[in-house]
Parts: sequence; C-alpha cells; structure tokens
Amino acid sequence: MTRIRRFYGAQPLHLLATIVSFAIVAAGVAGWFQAGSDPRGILLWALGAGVAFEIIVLPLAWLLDRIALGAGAGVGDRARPRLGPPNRAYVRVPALLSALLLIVFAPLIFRADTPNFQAITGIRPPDYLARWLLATAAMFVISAVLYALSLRRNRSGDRRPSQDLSDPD
Amino acid sequence: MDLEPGADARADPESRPSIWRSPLRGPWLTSALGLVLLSGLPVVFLTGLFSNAAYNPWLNGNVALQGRSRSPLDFYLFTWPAHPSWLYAVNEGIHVSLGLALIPAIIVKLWSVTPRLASPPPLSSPARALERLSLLFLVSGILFELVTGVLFEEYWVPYHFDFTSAHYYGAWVFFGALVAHTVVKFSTMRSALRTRGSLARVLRTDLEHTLPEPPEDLARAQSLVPAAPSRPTMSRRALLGVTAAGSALLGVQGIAQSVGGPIRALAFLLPRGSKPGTGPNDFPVNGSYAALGLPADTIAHWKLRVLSNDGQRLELTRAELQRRFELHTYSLPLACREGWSTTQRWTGVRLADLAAAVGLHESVAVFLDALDGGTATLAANQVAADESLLALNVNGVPISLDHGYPARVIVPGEIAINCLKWVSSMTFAPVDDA
Repeated sequence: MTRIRRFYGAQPLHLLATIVSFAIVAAGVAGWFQAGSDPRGILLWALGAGVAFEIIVLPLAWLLDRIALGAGAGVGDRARPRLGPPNRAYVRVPALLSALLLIVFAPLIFRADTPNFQAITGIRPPDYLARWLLATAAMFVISAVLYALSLRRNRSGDRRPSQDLSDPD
Repeated sequence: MDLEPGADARADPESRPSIWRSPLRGPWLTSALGLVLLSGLPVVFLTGLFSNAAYNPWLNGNVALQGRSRSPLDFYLFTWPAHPSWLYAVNEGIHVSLGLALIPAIIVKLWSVTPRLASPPPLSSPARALERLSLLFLVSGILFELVTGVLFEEYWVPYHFDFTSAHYYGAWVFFGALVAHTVVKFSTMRSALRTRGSLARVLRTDLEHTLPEPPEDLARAQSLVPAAPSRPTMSRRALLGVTAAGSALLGVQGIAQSVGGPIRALAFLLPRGSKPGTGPNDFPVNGSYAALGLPADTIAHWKLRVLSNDGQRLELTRAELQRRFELHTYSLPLACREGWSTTQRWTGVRLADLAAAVGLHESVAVFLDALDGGTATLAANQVAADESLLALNVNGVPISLDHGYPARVIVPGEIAINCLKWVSSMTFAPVDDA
C-alpha cells in the first residue's frame, strides 16, 4: 500500500476517484462518437473552448478591466485629486457587467443569424444592439447617481475626509 | 485575522516577477466560488438529465439522442409523468436560468485559478499528471456546455453537430471530471473556507483593509496566492458583489422567459423576451409555418387520420372533430427545452377520446406524424391524462398557423417538442408494459 502511494503520489482514494471519473468521461466522449453527429467537430469545439477562454477571453477581460480601471482612476482626479481607488468601482462595475452581457449575448447583439431567428420565432429580431447599449447606459447612469450621492454624503459629513477617500492613489 | 498576509508573501526577495499579481487570488476565493459551483452545477446537471427524460427517449420517433448505437449513458429512470402540468416548465426554467446565472461564477472561478492552469503541467507523480488531465476535461467540459447552451438559446448554429446529443454527452464528460475534482479537492475547499476566513468577514472588509491571503504550503508554481501581489484595486466583497450582480442580470433573463406574463419583458436580451403581439395567438412561436415552405393548398386539403394498430381508421376534418367529439378547455403551459414557457387556455379533443374512437380504451400510446415531418410518441400515461388534448382553439379562437393550425397536441407536463403542431396522423396502439 505504501509503495503504491509512494509510486502514485496520492491516497488510493485519489486513484479510485480518478478511475471512476475517467470511466464516465470516456463514456461521454464515446457517446459523442456513438451518436455519430460530427464527433470531431465536437472535440474541436470542446478543446477550442478551453483554449480560447485561456488565451482570448481572460486576457481580453484583463485588458478591458485595466482600461476601465484607468478611466475610473480619472474620475474626479482633476477636480478632487484626493479621490482614491474606491471611486473606480463606479466605472469598473458597470463596465464589467456590460462586458458580461456583451460576451453572453454577442450572437444576438451582432445579428449572427437573423434568417434562422425569424424562421424559428416568426418575428423579426428586435434591435439587441440598441438594447445592450441602453442597458449599458442605464448601468452607468445608476452608477453615476450612486457616485453623486456618495460625494454629497461625504461633503455633508463636515468636510471631513472619510477613511475610504483619504487614501491618494 | 484570517486573511492576513503571511510574513513571506510579499517579502520574498528571490521572487521572480510574475504576471499573476492579483492580491485577491487565493484558496479562500477559489473555494468560495467552488462551493457556489458545487451547489449549483449538480442542479443544472440533474435538471438536464430530467429534460432528456421528458422526451421519453425510449419511445419511437422522439428526437432526443437518436444515435446509431446505444451508449451506456442512454438510460432512463422513469416514464415522464403527466402531472403536475408545470413539471417540465419548472425543470427547464431552472436548468436554463441557473445555468445562465452561474456563468459569472464560472468565469471568476477560472480567473482565480489561472496561475495554476497556466503553469507547466506537474509531472512529478502519476497522481498529479492524471489530475491535470482531469482538469482539461473539467474546464473544456463546462465551457463546451456553456457555449453550446448559450448559442442554442440565441439561434446561432455555427457548428455541424446535433446540439441535443452533443450537449447531453458533454454534460457527462463534465460530470465525470467533476466527480474526481470534488473528491480530490473537497477537503482543501472545506479547510480553506474554515481557516482562511468567513464570508461575513470578507463582506465587512473594505478595499483599504483588503490583504492578500496567507501563502499556501505549496510549491511556487502551484500557488494561487501571488508571490509578489500588487496593491488591490478592488475588495474581495466587491469582486463577489460584481459576480453576484452579473449572476442576477443573467439569471433574471432566464427566469423572466420561463415565468412569462408580466415579467417576460425582463428577458430583454433573450429571443423569448419578445412577444409577437397582443392577440390571443400572440405568444412565443417555435418554428413558424412560413419557414416550412409547404404547398399553398396543404391546409385546405388537411384531414386528420386517426389509426389504430389493428387497422381501424378514421379521417376527420376540423369541423368533424368539433362536431363528433366533446371539446374540453384547460390552461396548460407550453414549455420549450430552451427554457421559456407560456401558459395559455387550450380547447380541443381529449387524446383518450380519439383513442376510444378507434376502439382502444386502456394503456394506449400514440405515435404522431405532422405536416412538417415531425414525429413523436406519447406514452400511455400521457394519452390517459384528462388535460392531454388535440387542441383546435387557443384563448377562444382557432389556433394560428404558426401555433399548429389545423390541430396541435398539448400534453400536461411535457416538453413542447413532443407536443407536435400541424398534426396529420395519430396512430394509437396498446402497450403491454404500461
């Protein structure tokens, strides 16, 4: 037993779980082939999804977040140079949520297949691009209102800089 | 203090610069998100299996998983019940809404473990190598399910495989990998959540007090906590908050298209957030009549053929159906596998009465053919249900062409794809095992 453990590098339970797991995975992959519906295309999509996520989506999200962060850092910087990082959230949060909606609903927003949409639903697709832009605008407006309220709260608070805002970046 | 930085977390002079510097990354964050996914994804998996069961895929002509050969995963635990009538609507509403709502958590969870996924595969022992391989199945499996599911919702089919079987077996690939991942990581998750902090504390901690997690007792390449963390630009509670907000944004879309009625419009980014209009037939359509491209006189010449397996045969026009049979009215949901549903008042002939008209009275299944080439078999419990109708009218008017004029089937609790529109023939046959 100890020798197995030393060779394998983990508890026997680990090996057991791995065997059960791989059996189920293999049955799933075999199912793709047994169903006979372009199994190679499926494998390409499955592996492609993992790779694309790692090398495209995550770096892109990071980049967009840095841009939003930069924009957020600029909010109020000229007028109130002491405004610190917490205010970035007022740009960053709506930007991240807008990006999430864009990623998830991109096929509708960019009208990937209007004829198919029409054949299935019997209606012309609404302007999802406009809806997404409106939703984005709404989130930024809500964020701006919250920002304004927080400024007012801080100003009325005896002009005493709050802990959150006292930290220059 | 649970989330205090370790003494050497930031002070390691030998630390090579790394691109993974977020001070929020660490076992606590990954475990918290892992717990969310471990609670939610099995529900999505199970409702998916139930959705497959709702096809009654063991019956002839039902479209799920029409593979050339049988996989050991093609098992069906039970005949889909006909009651309660909202059974499929709720099941599929949960499947799609929860699946959508978990997307942000999946993204952030994957972000949180990126340093480990991006590190070279640890080949120090067979266990580590197998674990890494299993992670490939896990990540590819969940992303495949997520991408195919979302694209299916949005009517974009840039691939050549059949969605239903690809999504079904893909779910097993993911589930298989999840079994190993859960067994291997459960104790790590539990101890990280116990010893590294509590949710309450994280929710109380603002940006200024947000510190990196203490380093793990692991090799550098395996560590989630960065060796040289940058200054936080966001607190952990803000990250969890924005993840939750994203979940709410997406989840509401799914819930709204499932519940329908006054809140349907909240699904403003899903096709089923829109209604065709305000008339009695203006509820969502799946498959328009125009898209079938049938000859213009098809409907004018329509007669319903009602057959029994022993040769009884009737041919009935719409008028004859209304004259010969008692009409019944029920409010029933039409529930699509896309997760949307809509409850309408249907009027029509009971399936059981049609079976009786060709001399069959008990334990009868029916095989349906439709003008669009669609087929389905309804099980005996579905034919026997009082509310199972061959619907001729909806909300007091004849059903529209898009909804299946001259006649469509509606069955309580059943997936809409088996409730054929434009029914052309119904073949009833007794079943022995019912």
